[in-house]
Amino acid sequence: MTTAPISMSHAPGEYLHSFPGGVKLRHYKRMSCLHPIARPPMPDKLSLPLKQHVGSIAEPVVTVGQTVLKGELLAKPNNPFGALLHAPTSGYISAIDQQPVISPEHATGACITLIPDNEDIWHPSCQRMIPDWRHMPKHELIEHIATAGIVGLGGAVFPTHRKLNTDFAPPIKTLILNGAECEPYISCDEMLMREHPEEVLLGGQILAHALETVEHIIIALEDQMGEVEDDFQRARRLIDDPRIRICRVRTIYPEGGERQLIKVLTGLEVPSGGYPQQLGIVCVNVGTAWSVKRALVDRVPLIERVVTVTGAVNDPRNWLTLLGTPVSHLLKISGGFKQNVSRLVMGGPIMGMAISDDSISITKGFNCLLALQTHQLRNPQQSMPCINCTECVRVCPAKLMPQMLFHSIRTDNTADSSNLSLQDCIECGCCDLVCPSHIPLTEYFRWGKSQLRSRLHEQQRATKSELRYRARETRLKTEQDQKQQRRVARQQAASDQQLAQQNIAAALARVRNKQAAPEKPNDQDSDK
Amino acid sequence: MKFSWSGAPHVPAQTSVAGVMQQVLLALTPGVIALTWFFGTGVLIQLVLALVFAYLFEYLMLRLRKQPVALFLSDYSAAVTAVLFALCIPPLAPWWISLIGMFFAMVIAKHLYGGLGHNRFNPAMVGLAVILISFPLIFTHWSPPRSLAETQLSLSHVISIIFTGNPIVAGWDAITMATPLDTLRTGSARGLLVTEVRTASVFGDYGGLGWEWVANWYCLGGLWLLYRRVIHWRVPLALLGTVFILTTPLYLFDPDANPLPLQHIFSGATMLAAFFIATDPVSGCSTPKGQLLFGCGVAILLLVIRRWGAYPDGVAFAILVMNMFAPLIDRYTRPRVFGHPG
Ligand code: SF4
Ligand code: SF4
Repeated sequence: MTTAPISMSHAPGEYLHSFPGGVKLRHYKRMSCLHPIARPPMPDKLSLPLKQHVGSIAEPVVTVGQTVLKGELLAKPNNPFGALLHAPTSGYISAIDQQPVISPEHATGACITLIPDNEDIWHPSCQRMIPDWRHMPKHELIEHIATAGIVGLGGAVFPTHRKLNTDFAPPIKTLILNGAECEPYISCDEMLMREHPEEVLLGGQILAHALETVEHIIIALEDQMGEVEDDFQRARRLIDDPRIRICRVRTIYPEGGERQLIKVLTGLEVPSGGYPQQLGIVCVNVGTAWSVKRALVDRVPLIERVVTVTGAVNDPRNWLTLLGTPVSHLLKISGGFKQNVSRLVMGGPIMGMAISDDSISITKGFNCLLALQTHQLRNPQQSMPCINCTECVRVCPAKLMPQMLFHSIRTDNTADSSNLSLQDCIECGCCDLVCPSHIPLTEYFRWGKSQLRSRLHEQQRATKSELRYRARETRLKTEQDQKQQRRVARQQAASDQQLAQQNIAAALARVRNKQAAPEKPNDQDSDK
Repeated sequence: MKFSWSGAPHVPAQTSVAGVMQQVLLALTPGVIALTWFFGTGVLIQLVLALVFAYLFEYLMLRLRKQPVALFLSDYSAAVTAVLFALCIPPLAPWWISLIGMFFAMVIAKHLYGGLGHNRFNPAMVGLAVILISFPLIFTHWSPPRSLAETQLSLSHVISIIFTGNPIVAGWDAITMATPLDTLRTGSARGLLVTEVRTASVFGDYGGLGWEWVANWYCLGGLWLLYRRVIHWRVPLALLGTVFILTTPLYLFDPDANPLPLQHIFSGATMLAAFFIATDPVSGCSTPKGQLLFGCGVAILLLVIRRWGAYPDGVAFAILVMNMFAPLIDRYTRPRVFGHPG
């Protein structure tokens, strides 16, 4: 049995390893790379969901009717897993209310609506001089990144300042800038790297500075992005940092997944349920690195991002889009739909999330807007029984047994699901793509994982209440015991008293007797 | 504007069950043609009979179980079962052999276990095993390979033999002869040396005459399936490898008592089993290591049955026994999950 390697024999990126499973896919990327990244015209209104990502809802710090300037703080997170939200342009707040949002569980969510005044006036906080990042101590740098509201732009949307806070991890030696967007259609990272390679590298340097101990900065590109590598080589010569290495990895889905990419570049496996930091590695998306550079050098908080608009639209391309821009606006300026478009997706065709309403707006994690035609979609009804062909086993990058997991979930056997490591499923959808029976495996796994979580939750609650119950029992028992002890003690004391009184009485009686008639038997001794 | 909603992935899989089964059928075609060439048109008649009965039972059972008939009839799985069965029975076997075989294959082994994907045992092999046990004599009536046949039977003649059970023009002896494996078995039972037995005319260069060519064509089809990724390399490799590794030392040690390793591989249904039967996904193993073990197990049982068993070829029984162990093997050979310690 092979064991997970725990140390690297090569410098990261020097030797490319391979990860298990994966599927080769057609790219469909060219079509959206024909034009340079452009800014869309200002939309009539921007709608900014307070919930930009899982786990945290921000609290607005502005009120309806207030005018705001570009880059001004709009909302603050209510827990440490959130990030700040800034005004993408100047204008006034027309509403803070429920609007349609992406998240599948809630059709609507709280949003701040901003009506742009088309003046685009910067807030003074974005014009203030800040010291050169090269001379900034770590905590201050991280503070600046947090203040800019930067989160992972690859789709995971995890606050970047939390990734950099590695006090509990071993020293971070390797920083990976992930430019391998493995899903078809999405090209925002490729275009960004083509147009701003120095800025991406600079962002990487800033992040490396914030991590303090970094020895290797690795840019991971797909091997089909030929021109990008040349651009990066040029940029690297300009920047001249010996830590930077440019790596071209095989284009095979899901190579751009964090765990898969780390395995390819270092040969290490991120432990199940663990984080790359445990291996001394931090992995960020190239778009994130770019926003870090913009925040620390240009003093622009995260108010816009590159969004690929592609698929069945007439003019697919990449837009540097303000957060809050409605999807319908982007679609309109991308030439509108081709025929028979019946699905809109945020993200790629494999892991993306369906959007049921085009009035929703761009959020920080919105990397791609994909329009799919009816004939391109999978037919949800037509699924056959599993024929155990093990194609899903062959392609699973987590080395799971999807067909067994499917069976365990269908029979509602959570014990078996967790034995088969359902929690390690990365929901990449590879198994779905090869299943001849067209079983919606990934759907099953998402559902199964939520079941596992709620089961775990229940268990924890049960354990907690049992603990509480036990504690109460013990407390009651202790109280009872104490009462009992006190009673016993009281009784003891009482009987002691009684005894003492008896003793005294007896003694007195003896004294009285003595006085009446002197004792005989004892006297014999004294006589001797 | 509103759009349809569904969970990811949004794009369909590129394969289908019907597609997989069609590829298997296509890969069997060279073997079928070769078998027909060497052993006569009876092969094709058996094929048609098995197909007709298979689809008849499939249809009835789907109706009975209230399953979507059109969806399941078009998955070609019944055809694969029928063809595998037909390739394993003698070309001149009476028509009701297919009827019985397909009844057990489709009704008992497949649908009573829950239909496509739920059968514990390989349906074609269940059908074959029932026939082997109930009518062992049928299997001694095998047509001789083309070059050895004394009479070339016409198609109508073949049909009448199959449907009436009477070899009209001549006795059974004139139109059938023992298979190489049978010859070997009876030969060794009479105390003859393998080398002596092998001088009989049914033997070719290393397998049976004709049989070895059929095996080659099966192998070709199998390689194509490997190339198309319809089957995985583990089962065929483990099966053929084990046969070779186990028989080579025996042969080297005592060539008089033990047949050539290649003879084992190129005779009977070994090649068919390696690429088409043991690779049946539903009743086989699904873990990578389990598939290797499954192939090895089939090979060992096959050799044991050929050497000591009462039946000329042990493919059906070897497969069925390993089908029984498959879930257990799977349970103990699960691969290490990514990110888990070894
Ligand atoms: S790919 Fe589909 S049919 Fe094949 S084993 Fe996996 S779940 Fe079953
Ligand atoms: S979705 Fe889960 S089970 Fe399916 S291939 Fe990806 S990791 Fe494996």
